[in-house]
This record gives sequence, C-alpha cells and structure tokens, in this order.
Amino acid sequence: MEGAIQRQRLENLLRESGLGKALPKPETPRYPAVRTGWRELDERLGGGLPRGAISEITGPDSSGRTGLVFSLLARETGEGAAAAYVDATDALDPRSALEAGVDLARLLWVRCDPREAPRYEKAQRVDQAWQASNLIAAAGGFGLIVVDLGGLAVRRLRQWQRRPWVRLRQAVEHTTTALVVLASDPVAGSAAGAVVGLQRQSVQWRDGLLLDGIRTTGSVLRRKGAAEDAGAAARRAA
Amino acid sequence: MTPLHAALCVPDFRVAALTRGERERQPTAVAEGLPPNQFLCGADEEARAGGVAEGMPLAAAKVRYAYSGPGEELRILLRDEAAEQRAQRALLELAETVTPRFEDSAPGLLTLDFQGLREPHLSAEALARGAAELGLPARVGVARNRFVALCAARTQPGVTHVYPGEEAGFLEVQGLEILPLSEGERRTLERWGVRMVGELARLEERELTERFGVRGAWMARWARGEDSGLLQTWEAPPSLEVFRDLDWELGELEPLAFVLSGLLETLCLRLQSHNLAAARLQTRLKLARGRAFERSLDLPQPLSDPRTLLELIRIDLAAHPPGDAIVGVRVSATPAPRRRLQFSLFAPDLPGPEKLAVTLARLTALTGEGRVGAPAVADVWRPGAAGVAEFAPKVKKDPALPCEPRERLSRGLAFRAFRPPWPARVALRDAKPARLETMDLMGEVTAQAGPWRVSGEWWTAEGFQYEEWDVEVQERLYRACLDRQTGGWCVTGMYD
Repeated sequence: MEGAIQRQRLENLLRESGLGKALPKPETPRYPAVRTGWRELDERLGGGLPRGAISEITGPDSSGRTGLVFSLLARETGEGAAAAYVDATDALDPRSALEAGVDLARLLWVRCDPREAPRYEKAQRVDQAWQASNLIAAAGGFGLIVVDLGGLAVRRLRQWQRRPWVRLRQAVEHTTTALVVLASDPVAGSAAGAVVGLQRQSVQWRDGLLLDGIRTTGSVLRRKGAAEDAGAAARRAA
Repeated sequence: MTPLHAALCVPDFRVAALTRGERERQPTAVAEGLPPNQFLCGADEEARAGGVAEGMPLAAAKVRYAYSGPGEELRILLRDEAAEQRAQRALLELAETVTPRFEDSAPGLLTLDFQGLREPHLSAEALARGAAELGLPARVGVARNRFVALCAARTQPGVTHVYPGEEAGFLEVQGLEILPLSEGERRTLERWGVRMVGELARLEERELTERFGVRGAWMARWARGEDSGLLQTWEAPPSLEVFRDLDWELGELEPLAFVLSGLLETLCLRLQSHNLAAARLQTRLKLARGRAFERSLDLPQPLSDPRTLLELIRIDLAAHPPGDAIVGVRVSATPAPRRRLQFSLFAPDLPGPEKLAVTLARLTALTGEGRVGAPAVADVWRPGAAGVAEFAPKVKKDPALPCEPRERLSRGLAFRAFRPPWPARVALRDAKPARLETMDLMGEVTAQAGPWRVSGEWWTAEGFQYEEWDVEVQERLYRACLDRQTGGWCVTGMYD
C-alpha cells in the first residue's frame, strides 16, 4: 500500500516537472506464487514465493528454516505437483518430512555424495548440488526445487561465484518452477527474487520434559519489485 | 465365400508335452508345487480311468490309483512349463504350414481359418498327421462354425467333419461339459434337468437371458451352433535383439553412439509396430581379445523412443566404461505394454517420462547408485536411517484444494539428520547432559528433555540401544544420543 502511494507521488512529481511520462508498470507474476502457509509472510511476499525465480530461506540453525521448507513441500506435493530436494549435506529425515505432510512419492531426493575426501568434501557437495539442480530444472515439470545448503559454512558458499546462480535463475525463468535455496545466510546475491530471513524467538519446553516448539519471526529481506520489508511476522512451529 | 474353420486339439496337453516321442504308453499324471503340497495338474486317459483327477493332492492320487487302478504303475512327472511352451510353439509352426490365419486359442488348442483352401479334407488330414509326427497326437474338427469345430476337436477322435446344416444335430447329443460354462451355471442348468446341449438349445433365448443376463444369450447361441466371435490371428513375437559386428575396433564411446543409434532405431521400430515398449535394456559389447562386457538398464517406465534410450545407454556406459576396444554390439529389450497416460485438466504438470528417465540416469551418474529417488521411511528407528525408493510420480486424481489451511500441513518439528552422526563428549550433572562438545560445537546445555530409549535389531549383530536427549546448546536444538552398548555419545541431528 505504502509502495503504491510513493509511486503515485513520484508520478505526480514527474508530471508537474513536465517530464510527463508515467513510470513503467510493475511486473505482474505470470504464475501464482507458492504459498508458505504462513499468512503474514505470504502477504509480505505478495502472495508467496515467486515461480520462475530463485528464493532464499535463510536463518541460523534451529530457526525453523527446514520446517518452512517442509510446509512448502507439503503444500506443493499435496496439490499433485512433483518436487525435488537437492540435499547437499544428506540431511533430509524422511520420517520428519512425512509427519509434516509431504507426499514422499512425489518428492525426488538427491543425496549428494559424501564419499569424497573430507578436505574437498564441501566444495564437491556444492558443485554436485548445483549440477543436480540444473539437471532437474532443465527436465521441467517440477513445481518446486529445494536446494538445501543448510549445513554448509557460508564462507564456502560465497566462494562459489555469482555466475552459477545466474545460470540457475535462467534455467527456471519463464517456467512454473519455484527454486528455493535453504542456507544460513543469503548466498545467491542479485539472482534471488526473494529472500526470507528467519530468527528464532524462543523455544518452548513442556513441563521440562518435552521439546514442544520453536517460536520464530520471519521477515522479507528482499523482494524484487517491492520496497524492503519493514516489519516481521511471527509464528510458532510445533 | 462360405467360412470354414478347423480346430486342432491335443488331449491331455501337459502329459503329451512331457512324453513327446515315447513309444510305450504308461498311465501318467503331472504334478506341480513343492512337496508336500503337490497337486495333480494333468493326467492322461489311462490315469483318469484309475480314479485320478486334476486338482487332487499327489499323495491322495497315488492311494486312489493303487486301490482302483488297473494294476499298472502310475507314473508321476513334474510339470515343465518350458516343455509345454516348446510343444505349443511346434504346433503353431505346424499350423503356419497350412494357413497363415490361425488362433492360439489355449495350450494344446488351435483354431485355423480354412476358408479358401482348395482341399480342406486333405489339409485336415495333413494337420493330424503333422501333429502325430511331432509326438503330439491330436484331434481335428472341421466345420463352418468356429465353435462347432472346437467342440468336434475336443470330443471326437481323429479327424471329424461337421457339414453345413449338421451343426445343431452334432451339438444336440453332446453333454453340457463341452460348453464354456462356469461351475455355477452348469449346476443351475442341471437343477433344471438340462444335461445335454440339445435340451439347452430348445430353451427360449429370451428366458435364458432373463435368468443369466448376457451369458444366457451366449449359451443359447452356443447350443444352436451359431457363430461365436472373431478369430484372433496369431502373430509371431517380434525379435527384440539387434546386433552389429564391427569391421574395426572402437576405443571411445562417442563413435559407439553412432552404431548404437542405428541399432536402437531398428529396435524401437519393431517395438512400436507391436505397440510395445522396452522395460529393460541389455547391452552386450564384444571386446577385443575375445572378452565380453554386459550392462543392464531397468527403465523406470517402459520407453520406445530411440533418442532417450541412446542417451540412457550413453550415460550408463560413461559411468561404467567397458575398459577395452569394442568390436561388436548387441542390444536386446525386454518388452512391456506401452503406458497409457490420462492427463488431468486440473492437476499440475509432471515431468515427462522420457526426460525424467534421462534426468534420473544423469543424477545417478553424478551422485552414485542408490542416492536418487523418492525418500522412504526406514522400518527401523536407528538414528539417520532412511531409504530411497523408485521415483515415479503419477497424475493425482484429486489434488488438494489450494486453500487448504496450514494447520493441516505442519505436524511436527522438522528434524535434520547428521549422516554420519557427530561423535561427542557429554558431561553429566544429576544424570542429565550438562555440557556438550563436538568437533564443531562446544557449550553448556541450557535446557534438555529426555531420555527416550530406542532399541532395535537386537536379533542381529547390528543391534542398537540408544538413550536420546533433546538438548539446547548455544541457542541450537540438537538430539544427543548415548549408545548404551558402547557408552559413547553422539549427536544425530538438529531440530530446525
């Protein structure tokens, strides 16, 4: 809303100054976005994570990133679409995904190979994850591709040049595929269409005996074609 | 032109297939199954005369024959499906010498189209003679009506001709067992006092239809000797093996692709012309110095597109190179019916099967065998246990509404597994974890819940017993496990 008012003001200013022309119309998404199921966050994202673009879900460990990704996968596979999970650190727990409502038969799990020598392991895994993501994006027909880089150090990920992300974005552009990167910090740079940051607020223990849930706040750190998000949405994953 | 059919029937086909070429006859029965659950699945006329019948337990059949048989010893043979297939194949080849149009009606039973043959009598005699020479003494029936010809072959010895206009008279004196009736239908008819086909033919078709439905109409037609359906002409199964011996040695895979491309074009053309697809591809390479190299590809879905198959073989051979120069190529396919796909107007698109097969093959080549597929929940609670199943999504008939509330989707804390688990050192206070140290992590435990005891596979050498704790260290939530067998600690994953 605020963005629309600012736009109107700017257009008035241009007209008064004799420059006359209206600003180009903002790009309208061609396909409906992938909703996270978190209402406040979806509103801030303009309906959800965009299709045909790269989105990033970032945050420190235990901030609810994987839970949010499972929620996306559950929604997408529940609607009958196929999804892919490129797992750079082989961290997916099928039982946990099933409990989150993911239709496992519609999920393609690519477990990057950990058999390389430990010294080169992480670079190897990232390379494999990137190649696998490209292959899946090129095959087409997947509604959602998740690239899980959650267990990898950001330092390592930033060594990865910007070029691969641009190529990956080009692979999904003009398709109905949403590519979601899960990492501890933003890594895709300007290739990312939306960046969501999660922060853990508190952990809830029931009677000191049971881990009950994590309270999380989420904010849209960046969204193409929109002003930066001022507020944050909170939710509890349990 | 008046239609004319012949039928060839080998009585007691299972016995005949096993005793082909034997001169001396001996009462014989055929059994199948593993001891002690063996049952008779075939018997010749002499054995049946001794009280033996199909479906009887083997032990009971022996006893029955010993008491009521003619005294000659009963020979028991084990069923051999390969021998039956060989015998059937021989009969089909024999039929091919008489007419190009014939039907493989059942094991030991063929129906031939005699329309247009100049000497049907001689052809029928030749058929019976040919079968006898094959060691499969057969009965032959010739009639204008296909069903009557079959009945004549099944019931009359030697060669029987039923001339036009005599069909109803021929059938009239036959018992109901020559008609393809179910046990229930036969019992019902017998309760009505109907035991012969002629008695059935005299019943009104309308009344039979009222009582038996469509089957009643069929019964009336069979009993009157009216025609019963079309001949389903037999076709020889296609040869699904293509090969080429090379004049020169190929040291690299790239030129091999040109050779494979031509072979696969031929193979796919054969498959497509029979409405088939390849479910499995076998590539055999003849290598220099007389060695051989073989690879098998189980395709996720039956395919008949030569470019996709070529790509799959190329990926496979690149991942598993033959290791020597190639001098010959042979590719064979295991056929399967082509898939039928019903698209939905409302369900989202899925990856195309050809592209998906190639993508899965490339991903497997990239990450290794058994690391690509649909995640499967392992049937064990061992930390980190997971399986990979075949990924073959199908079009969903009733996709969930997009406005499904989130509460239905999120049902638990998401867990990230550490594979392999991180070895850890844990200091205890009041029998609870108080400090956790791993290679990448070190800190005080600020909150914890547990323990939960997990054990399994105690009946094997890999049995496990764990005590699990949920712990909070440096604002992160981990699952720490005490191995009760070794006393060591590890961190098996993280809540996220």
